[in-house]
Amino acid sequence: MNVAAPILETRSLEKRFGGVAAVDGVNFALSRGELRCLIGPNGAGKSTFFKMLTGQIRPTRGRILLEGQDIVGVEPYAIGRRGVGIKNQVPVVMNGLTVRENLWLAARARRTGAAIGVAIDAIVERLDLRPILGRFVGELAHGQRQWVEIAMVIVCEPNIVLLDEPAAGMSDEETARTADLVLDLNKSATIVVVEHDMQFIRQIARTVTVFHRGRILVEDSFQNVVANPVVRDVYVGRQGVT
Amino acid sequence: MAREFAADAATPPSWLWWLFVAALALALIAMPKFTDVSLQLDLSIIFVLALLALSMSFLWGYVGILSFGQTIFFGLGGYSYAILALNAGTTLWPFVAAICLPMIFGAVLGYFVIYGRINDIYLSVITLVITLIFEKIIRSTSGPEYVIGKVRLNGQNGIPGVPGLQLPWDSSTLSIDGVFYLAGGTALLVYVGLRLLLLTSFGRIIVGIRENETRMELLGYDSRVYKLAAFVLAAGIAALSGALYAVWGNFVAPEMFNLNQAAQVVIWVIVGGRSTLIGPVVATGLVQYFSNWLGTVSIGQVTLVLGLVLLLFVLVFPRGLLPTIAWTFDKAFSKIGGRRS
Repeated sequence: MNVAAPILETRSLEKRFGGVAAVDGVNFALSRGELRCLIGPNGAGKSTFFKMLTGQIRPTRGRILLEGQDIVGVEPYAIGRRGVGIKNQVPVVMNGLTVRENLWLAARARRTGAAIGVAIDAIVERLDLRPILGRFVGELAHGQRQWVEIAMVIVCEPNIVLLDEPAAGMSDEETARTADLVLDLNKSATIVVVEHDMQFIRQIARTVTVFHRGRILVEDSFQNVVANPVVRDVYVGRQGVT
Repeated sequence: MAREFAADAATPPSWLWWLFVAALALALIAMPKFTDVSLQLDLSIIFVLALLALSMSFLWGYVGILSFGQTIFFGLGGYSYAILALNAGTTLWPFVAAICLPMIFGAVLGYFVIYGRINDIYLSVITLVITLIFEKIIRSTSGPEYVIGKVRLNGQNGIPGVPGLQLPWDSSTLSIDGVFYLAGGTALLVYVGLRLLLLTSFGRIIVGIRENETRMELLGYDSRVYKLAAFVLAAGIAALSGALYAVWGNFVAPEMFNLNQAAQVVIWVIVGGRSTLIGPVVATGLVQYFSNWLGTVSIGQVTLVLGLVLLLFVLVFPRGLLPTIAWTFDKAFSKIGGRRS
């Protein structure tokens, strides 16, 4: 396989809800091993974009190429099996089950037998989940539920990890830990992170893609993006980030 | 107690549960020695209907599919047994076929509704409509031209004279005791089997799908395969119930498919509590006895009273009877410093 070819690419990707284009002709390319940040105001189309990449929403038009193969119309489970993992904006977890059972279901998706327990133990140690292992996920705080969801994604050993607002609702300490985790995870997986927290992005970002009204406005380094007056106007400036 | 009987407990049942099962088994074995025939007949039909309730509580409680159509398979099971047994002059293979044929129909129906990604409420409506269509079709087969083999379908009069089950080692058909043991034993085995199914990967995965189908799909599980398998299994249990119903009463009728029957199954599960398997079984017995009692006191509107009971349960005990009792016990124990097992 050509190493330089994008691991994930979209061509003229579009999603319309009635007359509104949530995503409007997005051409996006992600290199293998990259750590990309997506930013943009609420309603810019970032979450819709993620949901199309994982098959949760079918695009109105355009193509999505995963390692060169078009995955438009492919079922979410098949995309998951091809190594794409996602943490959604609102945690998509099994609230009525324990943390341990959630992790078991995630680990079981890729392995059988004793390997399941080994994988669970490893992720529990890595994310320090032991204190909450026996608790029902629905009883946990938002930040903890996000950690559980991230753990479930990681335990599947994905090639591509999509993280939709992983630091939302987390304390400063948890945010810093999440940033470390993302950097660590990037050693084995290609990552795309949607986030509003500029401090978080500053810690992890290499290339930043700015979404605005369903389109890509700018794609550049973090420093250039925050310095860009157009970006500051539509998004960053309103947040008061310098 | 609550965890022990909960339908989403992936932990192996404790000795307490096994003790409970053993006590039930012993009670079942001993009962014909101490009871009269009429009680045995009453309990037998409760066990038969408890299987139908189990099929529903499994499908709704474990998998999250609210099918109003468990009576499709109940009716098909009964009619298949009646037609095959009367034609063949033997009963054992017709009994097995009466479970398998509805499962095949369940696989076809399930394929269309599950792979078609019909959403939950439409699935409920579609299954309800199909059971009513079956009722309508069977009711319209009164004429002499509606014959399968040498068996007349008889429309709304049903098929009388359905032979009792004859086991290979016995030349006579099952006695009242035998039917009692068969129905009770089967209900207990299916209950234990379903409870233990929760410990398997399949059981844990279907509970995961009930909890969050999107997440399970994103993890890489094709939820449709698991849901279809569960749907077919539930169809098999309902068909088993239908075949036993025919064995018990030596009679099948279109009422097996009707709205009353379909609604009753839902009532058993709501009253008993769909987060447990044993709850709907207990509720089947209670509702059945309550209906009989209402009949004996000549209250007239049995269905109306049952409807009121259902409303009461939905409003006052939304979790159902057994989970509410278990929850109350848990609260009481935690208040006096006891620890939840």
